[in-house]
Amino acid sequence: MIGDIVSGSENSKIVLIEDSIDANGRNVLLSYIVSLSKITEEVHLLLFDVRGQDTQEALKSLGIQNVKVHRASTDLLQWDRSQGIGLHTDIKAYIRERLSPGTKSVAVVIDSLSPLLTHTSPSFTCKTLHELAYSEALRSQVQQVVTLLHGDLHDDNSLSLTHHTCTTVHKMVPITTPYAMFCCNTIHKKVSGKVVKIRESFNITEEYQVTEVAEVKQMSQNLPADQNQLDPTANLTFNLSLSDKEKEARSQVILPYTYNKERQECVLAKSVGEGKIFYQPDEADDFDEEDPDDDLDI
Amino acid sequence: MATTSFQKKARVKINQIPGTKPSLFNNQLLISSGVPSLDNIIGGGLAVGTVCLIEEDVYGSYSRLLLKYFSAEAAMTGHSLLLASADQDPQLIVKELPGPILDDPGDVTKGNTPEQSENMKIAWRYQHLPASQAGHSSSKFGHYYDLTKVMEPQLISSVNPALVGIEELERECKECKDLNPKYKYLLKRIEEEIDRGHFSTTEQTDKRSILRIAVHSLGSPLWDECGGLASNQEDLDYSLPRFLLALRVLMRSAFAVCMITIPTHLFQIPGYVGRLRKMCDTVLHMDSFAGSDKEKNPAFKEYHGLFNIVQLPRLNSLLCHMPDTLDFAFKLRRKKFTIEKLHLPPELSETANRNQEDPVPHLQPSTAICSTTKPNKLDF
Repeated sequence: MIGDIVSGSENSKIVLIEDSIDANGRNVLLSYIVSLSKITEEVHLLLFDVRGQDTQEALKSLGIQNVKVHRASTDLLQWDRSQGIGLHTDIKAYIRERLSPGTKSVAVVIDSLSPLLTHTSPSFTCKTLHELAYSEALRSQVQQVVTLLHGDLHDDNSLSLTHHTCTTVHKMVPITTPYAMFCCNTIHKKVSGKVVKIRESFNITEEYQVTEVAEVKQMSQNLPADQNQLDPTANLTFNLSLSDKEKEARSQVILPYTYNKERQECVLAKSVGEGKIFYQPDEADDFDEEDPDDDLDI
Repeated sequence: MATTSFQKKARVKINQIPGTKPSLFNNQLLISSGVPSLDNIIGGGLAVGTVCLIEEDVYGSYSRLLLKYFSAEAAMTGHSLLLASADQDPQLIVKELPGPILDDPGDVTKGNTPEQSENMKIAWRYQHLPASQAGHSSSKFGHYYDLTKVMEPQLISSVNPALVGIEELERECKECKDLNPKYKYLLKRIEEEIDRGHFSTTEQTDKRSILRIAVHSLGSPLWDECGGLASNQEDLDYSLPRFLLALRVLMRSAFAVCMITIPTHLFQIPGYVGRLRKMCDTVLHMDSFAGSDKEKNPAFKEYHGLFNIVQLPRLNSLLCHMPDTLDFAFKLRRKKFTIEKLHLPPELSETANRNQEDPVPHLQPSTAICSTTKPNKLDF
């Protein structure tokens, strides 16, 4: 799953990589940037994080040309009234001004949404993401917005609001399987409305390619399956499997509640709620021919 | 000459508005929600002048579908439509409305009967009884839609839907202290729409119609809502309940019906959601299995989610409509979305591999229903 989303074969508009102190997500972000630089004409990287330096240096060493870096971490609250990007900058307008003319497909990568989410309201952050991905104002089409978020810095409310806005959430978790460097829980909302929830382990090569993706199955679910497979018909004292001949013999038996054909049809012909009285005189019954009431003077 | 002053009161106008019918319970004017199986369980349909709240499933796909059905029904019955959404472009939602199935759906059920007419040997008395769940009234109220097709653009443009998107909300909203400016603008817009189309009950018009108002994902972060919290992240923001109250007041004096979807799972404070529910008339909750453990539970194999009735309105009467059961589930086939009674599949295996505890939560539709929920000493 994660391999398809990173390579772009599975479409996703807003991707969130949520990491924590135990499991770093920056490598996954870098693989997204590398992949996006191949698919789109221009990648705009916004650095809000103090560790954004790492991302920048890694990109330099790879020598990718079409990534434009916008640093913001030096003056987040714009106390110096500097020209760069700050927390309250309209990112949409900022990027629009800096687009190379004629570009058709752009991707926006935000290295760490965390400063934005701590200093501004969650709804502002969600709106920023949504505008970047869907707004008509950015004339060239934004293919994808990828963001990193340090999940352990924020409260549940902000996180759930951010997750609601994103179409894919990778939550990095500590590894549990051997031979893998990374592990993440992915929730991906497909365009059709289907939701995929999966835990996968994978490796990332030196060129930031996602390889060796394998699903990590929950151990507890697999255990009890085999034990209940005993055949209940094995040691029976009676015969359950009938031959055709025996079946025919069985169908000949008249059961106590079966009526003769005529009477059955008569009952079925009635609609629900109506009734009819049938009288079957039994053998011991002495039926009196005479009118039992003829001595009465009515 | 014994003349009597008694005269039979003739009902002068019976159901002159297309796409409406009077309720069998309280004579309220009803319109179809667009899903006939939903109409059945909420007592015939949505009453004119009420607000229906749909609590969204976690990923919002099924509630959006319900809203599309509601909007598509407007085009089919010729009602006016106002569609507002901040999360999605309303143009896009209108383009994706499902196409109607115009021939009678009754024929479909008839096609199946010859298979079943083979003779029953033991349970022969049941032979001539109709199959279960076929008991929908076949009256011409509510339409069936085919999800694989989209509605023709001419049909949609014939009702000329008024669309309110995020850009209009952003542009038009003015600063407002006591109410979220986006809500305020939406209220103003609805009021204008009621005036423009003469939907108010005080106005006399020759050709009455109904205004359907569909609001998608109200209270999502894109409406500047932080899960019910004010900007300082501590106090509650009462904009949303206030908006709903004001909306309900507007609805009561208009020939209009409002359907709102709210992602209530984003509101962390349970009391807040309770307030929202109280401000609406009908409250329905969709609980999709997508992405949850229930998806793999064998008990729910046939369904896509649970459908809970949280609240039904009491209109002109002491009691609300009460469905036979409160356990409903919805399923989405390729073409059709239906809401059915929840039936558990037969337990075939020797050992119970199903969880013993009941996976269906027993919800009491508490609120608008008049009886007290607390056990009374006088009750047996």
